[in-house]
Amino acid sequence: MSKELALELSGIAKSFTGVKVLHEVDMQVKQGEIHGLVGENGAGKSTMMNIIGGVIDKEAGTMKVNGQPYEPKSPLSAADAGIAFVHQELNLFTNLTVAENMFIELFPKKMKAAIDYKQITKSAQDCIDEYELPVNPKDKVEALPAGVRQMVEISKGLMKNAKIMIFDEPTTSLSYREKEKLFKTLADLKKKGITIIYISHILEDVFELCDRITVLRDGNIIGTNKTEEITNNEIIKMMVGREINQVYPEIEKDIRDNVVFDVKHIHYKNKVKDVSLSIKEGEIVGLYGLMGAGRTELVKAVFGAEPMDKGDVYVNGKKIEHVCPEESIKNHVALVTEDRHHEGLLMNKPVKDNLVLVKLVDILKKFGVIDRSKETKFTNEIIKSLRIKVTDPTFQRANGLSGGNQQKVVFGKWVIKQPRVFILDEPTRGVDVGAKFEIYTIIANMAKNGSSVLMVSSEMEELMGTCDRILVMRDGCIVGELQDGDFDQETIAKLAL
Amino acid sequence: MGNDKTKTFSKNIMQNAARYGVFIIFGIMFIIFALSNEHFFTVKNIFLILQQASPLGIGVIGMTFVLVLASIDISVGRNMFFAATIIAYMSKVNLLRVDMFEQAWGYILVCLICVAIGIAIGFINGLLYTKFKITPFIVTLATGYILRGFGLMISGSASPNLTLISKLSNGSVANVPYVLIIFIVVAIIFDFVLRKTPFGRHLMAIGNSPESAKKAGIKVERNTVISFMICGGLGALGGILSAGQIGSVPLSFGEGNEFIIISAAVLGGTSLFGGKGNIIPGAVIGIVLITTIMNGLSMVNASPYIYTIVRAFIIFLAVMVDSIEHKGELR
Repeated sequence: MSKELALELSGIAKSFTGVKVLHEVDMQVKQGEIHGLVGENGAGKSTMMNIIGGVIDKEAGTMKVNGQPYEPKSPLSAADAGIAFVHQELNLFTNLTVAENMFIELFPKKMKAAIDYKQITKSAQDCIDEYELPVNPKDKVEALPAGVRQMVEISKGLMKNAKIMIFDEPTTSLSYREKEKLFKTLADLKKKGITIIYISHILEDVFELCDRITVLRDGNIIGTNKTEEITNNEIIKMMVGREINQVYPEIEKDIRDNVVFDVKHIHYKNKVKDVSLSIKEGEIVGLYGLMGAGRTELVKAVFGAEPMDKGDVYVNGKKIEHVCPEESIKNHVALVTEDRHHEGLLMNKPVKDNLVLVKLVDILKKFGVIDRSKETKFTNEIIKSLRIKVTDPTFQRANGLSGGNQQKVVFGKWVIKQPRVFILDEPTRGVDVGAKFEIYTIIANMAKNGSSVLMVSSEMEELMGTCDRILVMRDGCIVGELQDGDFDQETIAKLAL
Repeated sequence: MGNDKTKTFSKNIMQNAARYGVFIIFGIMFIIFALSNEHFFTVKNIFLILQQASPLGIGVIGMTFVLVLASIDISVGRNMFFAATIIAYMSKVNLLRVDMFEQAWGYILVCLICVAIGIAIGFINGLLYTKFKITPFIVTLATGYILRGFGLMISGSASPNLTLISKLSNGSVANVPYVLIIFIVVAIIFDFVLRKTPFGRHLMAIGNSPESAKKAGIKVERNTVISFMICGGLGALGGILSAGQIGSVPLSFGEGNEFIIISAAVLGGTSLFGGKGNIIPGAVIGIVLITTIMNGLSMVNASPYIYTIVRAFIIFLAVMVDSIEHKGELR
């Protein structure tokens, strides 16, 4: 029977600094199937994949590829065994060209020394043509947008003619259309008999694509099931270890009539063209659009993180004269960015420092000394109300928290400040199912307490579940507006395309 | 809003000013030097400048390999001192005799000894950095002082003579200094290595993202050690050629060279943040510019104390440009 198995893991264990992250894991991947691997952040998915890929050593257990014992010493031995990885786009080298990135593991050489640039340019061009990528092999990766980078990373994996391909969150920065194309490619690969392991947070995709789904939780395999024999809710239950009945919170709130946030005729470079919008007190407004539609640019411009070319911003009817982050914060506008690693958190600092960062100016005693007792009071309140899982906020660092809890800290930082206008850019990116619900709850509670929320997301369902109104952007303009009750996936997708 | 427009505009000006400002300042200084001394802008002086620039230039080439890894080697000046002291000692105890230098092989032997010493030093630096995870700045600071200590012990705190190889350091063929030829050859070889070989591209990849490089199966530690060996080897070679130009090994020899070398590399477009750097033209232009300023200052009879100040300014400017450009990069 083992002949049918493309990849077989038995008893794989691994610990980092004494903490066990994989407990004797067994997993079997059949030849020619698309095998989904799901689990919350920190469940051990990436550790497992890194062991298969030869990036890190395992402590115990054995692996077999096509029935043959497999002991990878380095990523190169994984490639020799016919295993290819498609990482997230962040694994490309931005200072090198597309062609160089595609061949970085093993450059073809001429005269035993020099890289054969003619050959890599040609092969890269073939690959680019095959997958219709909008790039030139000699383009530097730093000049490419995130979606295109991801496509480069994917075609790099496809180029190797591997027998087993592992896709790690490949869709995080893809647009709807690119994603469709990727899924078609995956189906084609399956027809060719290639085995695929597909790791993703987006369960809808996993259900659409995979033949079997394995769930990993806290370093243990909870189960492997055929896709037909299991439901979305059962998978979620397996992932979080408890039942989640609701995906979106139901919180009663009123939308009052006064407009809190009013934005008029915003222009930013060529990416935002004459956009106006207004949000009432207690209202949650969603902003949907494909990659490159100008969503992120719009919210950055109205907050002042990027200087807008033209336009006015009013908060509570008062015009903000010079739109910049300092002024926005002073007028109780808050922005939570999608890139929490670079912009939102001080990763090396304790949770407490992160939480009170923007509040500091309000809790000063005489001579500008920070009021420690107020600091502690605010921190403890917010940790309690947002249910941030942290044992010691004074010492535990932000980078020691899981993705969901990190995002809560980013939120908490602004919630303490009690903003009137709360702008969120992809608030649940990289956050697992259990934590998503809690984040939606925080957002709804903010609105209930009178804040106005503007929420950018590429997940349509998330917007439909949380917003009172959805605006759709395309090519830098707002092209449609839907009220709660009229929400419809198809209409929104049509507007956005 | 007009206000914001001026802001973006001034930001662009800042970046451009930083990028080209350095070269404009150099241009102005050129003109001042040329106007104040008629001998400055002559073929003879230009060759002199190139001759002076060559030994350190060889060091800059090695340094580029370490800098593209976002690493640094500040032991290189003391490495130069150590290598030159060893050669001087060998000639003092007659291991190297004058008659060996009647033919070319004597010079080649001296160069090879120095390169070997430098490679060994680089190996130790690289090993301490990769195996014990000590910051390269501290590792090379420490090894540098150790080398200096050993050097002073060997020379007995005297300034030994080193006239043996002055023919190589100061001589020329058809007006082209030997050291310049060595410099050019080394530059061409290592430019090829950095630009066209898998090793060179892997260094760039490591400098860009060590984590991803590891995932791509690049031997990060091995390549890092090799880079330090290149830096050490070329540093020592530059050191002996430089000492040969002076004809002795003064006690202060090599002190501060590391900063001239690093700022020359950065001036030529190599980033202290890693992942970016080139030898032709970058490293070559960098060292020639700095040497030209030093040469010009001596031609206008500037006070020797001014030199240090000017050097400091060059380092400051080069690093400032690097930082400003780095911020604008999409990562």
